[in-house]
Amino acid sequence: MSQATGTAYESDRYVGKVAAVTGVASGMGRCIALRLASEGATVFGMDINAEGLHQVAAEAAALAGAGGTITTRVTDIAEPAQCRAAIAECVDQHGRLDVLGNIAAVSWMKNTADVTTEDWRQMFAINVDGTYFMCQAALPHILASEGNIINIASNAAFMGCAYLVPYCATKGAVVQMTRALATEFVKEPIRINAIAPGGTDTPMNRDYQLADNTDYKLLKRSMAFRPLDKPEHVAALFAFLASAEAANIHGAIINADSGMTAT
Amino acid sequence: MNRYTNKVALLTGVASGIGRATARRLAAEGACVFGLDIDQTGLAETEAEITSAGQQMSGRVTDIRSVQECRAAAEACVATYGGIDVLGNIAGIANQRHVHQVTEEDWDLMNDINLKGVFFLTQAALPHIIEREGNIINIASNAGLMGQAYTVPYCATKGAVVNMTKALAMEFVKHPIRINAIAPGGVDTSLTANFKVLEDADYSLMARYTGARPSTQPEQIASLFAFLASEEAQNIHGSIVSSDGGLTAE
Repeated sequence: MSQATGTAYESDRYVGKVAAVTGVASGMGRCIALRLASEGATVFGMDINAEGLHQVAAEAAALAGAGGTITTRVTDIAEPAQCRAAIAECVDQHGRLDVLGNIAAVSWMKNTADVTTEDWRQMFAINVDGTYFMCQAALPHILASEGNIINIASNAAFMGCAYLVPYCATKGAVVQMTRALATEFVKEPIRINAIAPGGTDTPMNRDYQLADNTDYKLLKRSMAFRPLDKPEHVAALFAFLASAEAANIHGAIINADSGMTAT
Repeated sequence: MNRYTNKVALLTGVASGIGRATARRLAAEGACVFGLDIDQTGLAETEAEITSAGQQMSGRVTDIRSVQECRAAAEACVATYGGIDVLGNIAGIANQRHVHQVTEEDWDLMNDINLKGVFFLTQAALPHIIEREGNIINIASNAGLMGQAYTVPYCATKGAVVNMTKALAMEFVKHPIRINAIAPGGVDTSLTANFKVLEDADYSLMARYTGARPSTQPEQIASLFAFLASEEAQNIHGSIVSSDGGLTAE
């Protein structure tokens, strides 16, 4: 088991399975790709960051575990045509698709007055359009394999977070998109779920810069009592949820945020 | 998988259904199971099955409606296996009634088992859970998240379990323990097998909580329990995890 996946966990749950995962160049996406590969998956990893993709593929080559692999494709999920092309390439290469993981996303903190039209559209293009068009492109293949989809939402979908208005809106959209897709496909033998992490120790979180003149009192509920989560924890939940162990979990939004949304 | 080697799990409702499946699963992964139920025969069957497979389980007939019995059961678990790593509050009852049919006895029975028993066993186990940096899982229900006709008392108790779980999670957020709930859909157990649908029920009201997928198997809840109570789920705290085949997505 690789160090990247944290706790030792011997499993071959993903032998023979193909997983298409976005955002694998860093953070949660990277940990999820490595975790699934360590459990035997053939991972088709996507990101806009070519350098990070190259690194994660190299890490995967050195993985101990159940013999999985990671192949990569530079993909801008903000472009629906690229989503379709990427999924087509994944299925061309590997012959099937069992799991789609929509992990890629962006976030930043700004006062509402400072958010430009371009800011808003870019965040929706990546966090919402990218997730939706990946699902749309992958669904015929997921139906064929009786597979499943996991979207990474956020606890920001359930809390009104000051200075994160566009991000909260996109993650709320991901939550409801997940539930609506789950209902539309409830009679098909596939599963569609979301994970709602809290603050996780990833480059996205480390790169947050506070909005100008931030009123800290408004950030009260966003301040966790427990340390930042590790992306390996999200990967462990993903690996459970996308496996046959979770055969009955469909349309669920699973909070993994160390208690932040309990209050 | 052997995620529960050297771990002690105190579970209620192990004579049947989700409780029995969870006892089997944790014992198979190495846990010492201290199993409670009011049903002596079913409890003995679960214990015999697990111990004859060379795994660890000790059963104790317990009526969780009694605070004294909850305390005595937690102490007996500690005396038998040395501590408590995992508490699973699984025992519960359900029935269908029109509101006007619900007697005071009906109401008290359901509250005593589904709610009071969960709280006082949790209270008794918490010092031991804290000592071992362990965790608690309460079995709630989709009925704790939806309004379901003809099951008003059941919905009330399960809604209470949902928010009790969240309130406990907040009170202990600074301690290195975890407290979560699972909200199953209709599970294929003796609880649902014995569930008598009202003869004069309006089926259009019941259609709202009838799942499109086949009933959940108790083993599927047990596999989620085994994940959630393991170190694999260490950042999941205060969560209500639905496992209902899409019922609450709509």
